[in-house]
Amino acid sequence: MTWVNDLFQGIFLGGAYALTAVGLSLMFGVMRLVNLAHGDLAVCGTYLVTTIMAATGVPLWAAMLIMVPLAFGLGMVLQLSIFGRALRTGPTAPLLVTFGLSVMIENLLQQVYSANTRGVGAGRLDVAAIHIGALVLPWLAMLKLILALVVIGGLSALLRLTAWGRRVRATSDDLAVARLQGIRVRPLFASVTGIAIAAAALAGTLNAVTTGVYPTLGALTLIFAFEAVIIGGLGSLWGTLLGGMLLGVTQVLVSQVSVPYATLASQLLFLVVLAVRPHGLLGTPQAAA
Amino acid sequence: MSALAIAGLDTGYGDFQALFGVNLELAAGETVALVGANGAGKTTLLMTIAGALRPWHGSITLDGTDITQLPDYQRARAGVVLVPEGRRLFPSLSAEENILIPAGRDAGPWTLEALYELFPMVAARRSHRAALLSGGEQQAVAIARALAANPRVLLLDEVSLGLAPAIVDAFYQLLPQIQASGVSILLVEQDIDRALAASSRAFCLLEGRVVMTGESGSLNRDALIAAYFGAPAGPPGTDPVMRT
Repeated sequence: MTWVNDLFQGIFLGGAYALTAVGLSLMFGVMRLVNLAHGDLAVCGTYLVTTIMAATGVPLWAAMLIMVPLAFGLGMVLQLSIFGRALRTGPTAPLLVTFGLSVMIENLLQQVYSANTRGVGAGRLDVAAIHIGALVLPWLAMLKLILALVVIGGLSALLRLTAWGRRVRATSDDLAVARLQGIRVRPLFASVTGIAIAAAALAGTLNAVTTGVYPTLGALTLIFAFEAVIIGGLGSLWGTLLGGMLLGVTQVLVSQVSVPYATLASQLLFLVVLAVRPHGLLGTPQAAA
Repeated sequence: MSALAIAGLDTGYGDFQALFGVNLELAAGETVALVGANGAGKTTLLMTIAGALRPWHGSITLDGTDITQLPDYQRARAGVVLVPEGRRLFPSLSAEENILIPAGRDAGPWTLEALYELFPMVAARRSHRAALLSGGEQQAVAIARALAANPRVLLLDEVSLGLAPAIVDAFYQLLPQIQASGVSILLVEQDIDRALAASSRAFCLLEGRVVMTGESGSLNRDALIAAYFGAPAGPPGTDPVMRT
């Protein structure tokens, strides 16, 4: 029964990975922008939540409700002020710019919040769980998967069914022609980055309830998000969900045998996928090119 | 007042100047042909009018309004729409989604229904991904996409490129219908005879300069071909064409 429990834990953890990674996948898919500050921005969201909770005394869910629109706004501002400009100058500038942003955020967080790990109190949610026989389904863990499904499903529907989504896909296909057809690219990209950062900040906060948060957590967050995107396949949002789940399941199952090898196992899984199927499980070779 | 007026247009790429003092006018509802050899600057001129390329000097006026400084996406909204060379559809979007990209922004005669009536073959394939359509179908979608913006000026860049002659004929038979909606058309076409037959006036570009203009019906074909390749024209007096 432990194994079944672990399998579920792994899937739930994978939901969190996928929720973090979906923004990375979206930004790369739409703008070909690799955001190396993605994990750090997720961590910023978590710190924002802890600050809101400390300052106003509101519970976690209320602080998250306040944080998500702020994270969306931060994403838009970053896109309009920095990322867009970097994108226009060529393919290497975004890498350097987002790497620089990552370093700045980590140091700024250390300056303001110190290097100590701080917990994020979830109140009753921390221990609430559904018991089905010997199966334990913690609400907090399930919430990660549910939110991942809602965000990825909602985003897929937006991209597929709305005029906004049509414009995003058209711009991703051919930026120059999209402009010639009257699409205003700057606000469109700003909305994409806003969604990406908001989703990452949401995921980062939920994770921090379990693990706590510290200023350099972003680097680790980024690695797992990257691996989820690559395993699932570049440009495929559902692939990112699958990639996140495989990472989560691998990690939890291996940690039953040996905790130190759990992280190594997920990196090995990543290497195997890269070697066997470099365009990812649900990706197409063209998207990776 | 002309729908589109271009005066003294210079532009190019980096240090390379591609157009030299180009003047061109397009009346409302008129079709004008732009001919010239490869590299003469035809596509550059269309790209500059559409706003993808910034002019160095000169002005572009649409219905009396100066649009020289307007960025590309606003030009399309103002009513200057390009059907790019090689069609350049959004490959991952369906045919209908391609057409819906500019649609509904401005009211006008070209609704989705009207476009499907004009291009029945697009209607039949509306839910297919653009990348999977045939060349002729893709070209039809490209023109429908441009018309969906209800443009004042339609810039057609080599719509017949790589298509079977029968399909090209069908396209040119549709031009009068498109014109009848009040659209002015600037047509770039490799096939001189086809270009002259479809237009009321023609411009010939050579190495970035307008070297010949005139009424399409009365242009001396030999002189035009000479201008096309930059060879000297026939003996003076036999040439009815105004040279600029």
